[in-house]
Amino acid sequence: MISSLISRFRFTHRRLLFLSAHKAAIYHWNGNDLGSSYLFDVDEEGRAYFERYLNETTKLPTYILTDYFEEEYRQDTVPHVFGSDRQAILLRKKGRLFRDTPYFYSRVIGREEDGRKDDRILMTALTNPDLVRPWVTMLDNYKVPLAGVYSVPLFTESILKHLENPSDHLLIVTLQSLSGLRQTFFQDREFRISRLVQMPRYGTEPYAPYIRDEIEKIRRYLNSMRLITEEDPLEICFLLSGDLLDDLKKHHEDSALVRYEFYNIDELLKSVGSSQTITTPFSDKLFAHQLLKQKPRSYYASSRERRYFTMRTLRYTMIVSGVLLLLGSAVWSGFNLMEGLSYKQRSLIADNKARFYNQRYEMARERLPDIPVEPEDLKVAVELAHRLGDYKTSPLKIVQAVSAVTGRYPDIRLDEFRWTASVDPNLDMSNPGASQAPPAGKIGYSNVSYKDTGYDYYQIAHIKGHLEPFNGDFRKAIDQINAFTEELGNRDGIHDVSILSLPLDVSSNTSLSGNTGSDSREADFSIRVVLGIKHAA
Amino acid sequence: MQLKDMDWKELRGAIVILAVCLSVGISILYLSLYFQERMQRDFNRNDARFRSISQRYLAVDEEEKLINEYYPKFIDLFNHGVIGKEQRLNWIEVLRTATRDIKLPRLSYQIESQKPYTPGYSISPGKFKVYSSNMKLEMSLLHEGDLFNIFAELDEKARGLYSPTICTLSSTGEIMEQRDAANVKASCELQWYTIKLADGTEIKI
Repeated sequence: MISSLISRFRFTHRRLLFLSAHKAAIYHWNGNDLGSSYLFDVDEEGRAYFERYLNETTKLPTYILTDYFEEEYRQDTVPHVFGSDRQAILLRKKGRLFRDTPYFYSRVIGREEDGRKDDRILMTALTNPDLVRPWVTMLDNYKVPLAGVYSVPLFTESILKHLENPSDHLLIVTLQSLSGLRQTFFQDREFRISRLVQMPRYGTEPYAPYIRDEIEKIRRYLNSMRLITEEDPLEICFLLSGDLLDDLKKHHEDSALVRYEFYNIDELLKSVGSSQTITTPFSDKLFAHQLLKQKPRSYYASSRERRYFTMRTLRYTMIVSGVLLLLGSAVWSGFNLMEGLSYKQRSLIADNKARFYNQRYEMARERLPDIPVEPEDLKVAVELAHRLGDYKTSPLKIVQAVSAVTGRYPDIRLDEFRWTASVDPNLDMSNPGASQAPPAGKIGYSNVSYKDTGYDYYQIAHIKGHLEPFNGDFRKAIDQINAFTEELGNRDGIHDVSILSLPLDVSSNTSLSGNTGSDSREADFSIRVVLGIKHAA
Repeated sequence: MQLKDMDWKELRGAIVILAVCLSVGISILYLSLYFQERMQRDFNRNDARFRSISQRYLAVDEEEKLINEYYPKFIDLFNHGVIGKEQRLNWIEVLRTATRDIKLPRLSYQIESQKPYTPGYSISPGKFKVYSSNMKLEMSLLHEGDLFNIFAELDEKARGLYSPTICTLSSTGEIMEQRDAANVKASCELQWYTIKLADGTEIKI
C-alpha cells in the first residue's frame, strides 16, 4: 500500500505507448531516462495482455506515439482571423478534408507574403481512428491519464535541433522496429510531407537496398512536386546505427544535388542525455526518449480523452496548493508564535520590573504622609485656590479714590454708588450679560481697549450725585463736574472716567427747555469710573 | 473538458485534502494571531505599568518636595473651607457676630444653592472643579466704612474664599449721628468659591 501511495506521487514517472499497425510497445520513464519496455501485438490477445498490464501497473501519465500509414497532411491558407472565427474555418476545412476522424490537428506555420496575407496552416489527421481508439478506450476504462496522442512524422520536427546545420531541404530517414522506414521531408525547417514504408523483418534481408530504392522514389516525388530543384540541393539525414549505417555510407556519396549526413542514433541518444544503448538501427527509443523528456502539447487527443490527465493535474494542483497553504500558514503561524512568545517573555520581564519598582516605590512612600490626592494634584489645588484669591476684589480702593477727590469739592454730594468687578473694562452694568462692545461715542461707555493695558481686571462704578447748594448756574455746575471727573481720572489706577449725565444736556441731538426767570434747585449728574487692578507681584 | 466528463471520485481525495489543509491552515493562523495579539496586549499593559511605576519611583523625591511644600497649604485651605466642603454655618455665624460687633442696624442674607463656576479668567483646574455659592447681603449702615468692616470680619474669621461681585451703596437722605442710624443702604453679592474633585470623590484628610 505504501509503495502504491509512493508511486501515486511520483510526479516524474510516465510512459509512452508506441502504436503501429502491427505492434504496440510501452516505454517507461523513470525520473530522467527510459526504463523498462513491453511489447504487445495489435490483436485481441495483445490488447488482453495490455489490459492486464494496465491492471497491474499504476496509473502513470501516458503519451501515445503513433506511426501509421493512415496519416494525412495538408497545407492550406486561411484568413488571418482569431477565436471562434478561426475555429469555424478550421472545422469547415476538417469536415471537408478529414470528415471521419476525430484525430485532427492543425497549426499555423506562417503567413502569406502577398495578397491579404492569409495564415498558412498545416492540417494533419489520423484517417483511421479505429487504429487508435481501442487503446485510448482501454486507457480511459482504467482511468489512466492520457497526456496526448502524437505521431512520429510530426514529432520528427523536434529532432531537428539535435542535427548539425540542417539544410533548408532536409529529408530525415529513420527506421522504427514497429512500423518500418519513415522518410520525412522538411523545407525551411517546416514539416512538408512524410512517407512510411513497411520493411521486411529485421535480419531476414539486408535493409540498404530497400532504403536506397525508397529514397529514390521519394526524391522523384519531391522533384515532381517541385519541392526540390536543381538549385536547392537536398540533404538526406540517416538516423541509423551499426552495419546498416556503414553500408549506406559506402553507397551514398555527396553530389551537386544531394548531400548525405549519417547520424548514429546510439551516439545521438547519448548526446541527449540517455544512458540507453541501441544496437539495432531502429530509432524507437530515440523518439520515446525525446517525447517523454520534452512532453509536448497533445496533437490529436480530444479533451474528453485527456480528462483523467486534466483531473490528475487538477488533483495535484489542489493537493500541492493545500500543502503549500498549510505550510505557508504554518510558517506564518510560526512567526506569530515566535513573536507572541517574545512578547510573553518581554511581558514577564516588564511585570517583574514593575513589581520591583512598585515595592521600591511603596518603601519610599512609607516615609511620606498619606495624602488624599496625588502629590502633583496638591500643587494644582493650591495654585487654583491662589488663582481664585488673586482675583478676589473689594470696592474699597475705588471708594477711597472717589472719596479723596470728593473731599476737595464740597458742593458735590454722592447719592448712589453701584460697583462691580470684571476683566472687561467696557462692561455695561445695566446689562452685564452683553457688554463686550458698547456703542462708540455713546455717553457713559468708555469703549477703551482692555488689551495690553497691564491690568489683570477692573472695578467699575456708576456714581450718581448732585451739587448742593446750586443757584441755577449750569455753566458753573458743569465746570465743577468736569473738574471733578478730570481730577478723578488723573489718579493712579483710574483707567477711565466718563460722564453719564450732566445737570443740563446741551448736546445738539436732544430737546432742551427751561425758564430763565426762576432758579433751578436741582443739579444731578452721574459718572462712570473704571479702576484697573494689578495682582501683587 | 466539460463538467459532465469529470470523474468526481478521482478528485474527492484531493478536495478533502485541500479542505482539511485550508481549515487547519486558517485555524492555526487564527490561533497564532490570537496568541500573538493577546501576548502583545499583556506586554503593552505590563510595559505601561512598568514605565509608570518606574517614573513615579524616580520622581518620589520630587513628590516628597511637592508634599512638603504644598500639603500644609492644602490642609490649610481644606480647614478654611476653600477645598472640600463649604462652611455655610461658619459664614452665618461670622455675619451675626460682625453685625453685633459693628452694631449694624440691619443685615439680611440669602445664600443660593452651590453651582459649578467658570471664572472670566483662565484657570488650570486639573482633576478639580470650582463651585460657587452666591450670597446676597442687604445692609443698613451708619456710614460706608461699615461695609468694609463687614468684609474685614469675613476676611478674618470666615472659613472660605469669597469675592464681592456687585455692590450698591445709596444715601438715605439726612445724615444722623447716632451709632445705630441707617444713613446708608448697601446691597452686595458675594461668590463663595469651593474646590472639589471633578469626579465627585469627597476629599478627606
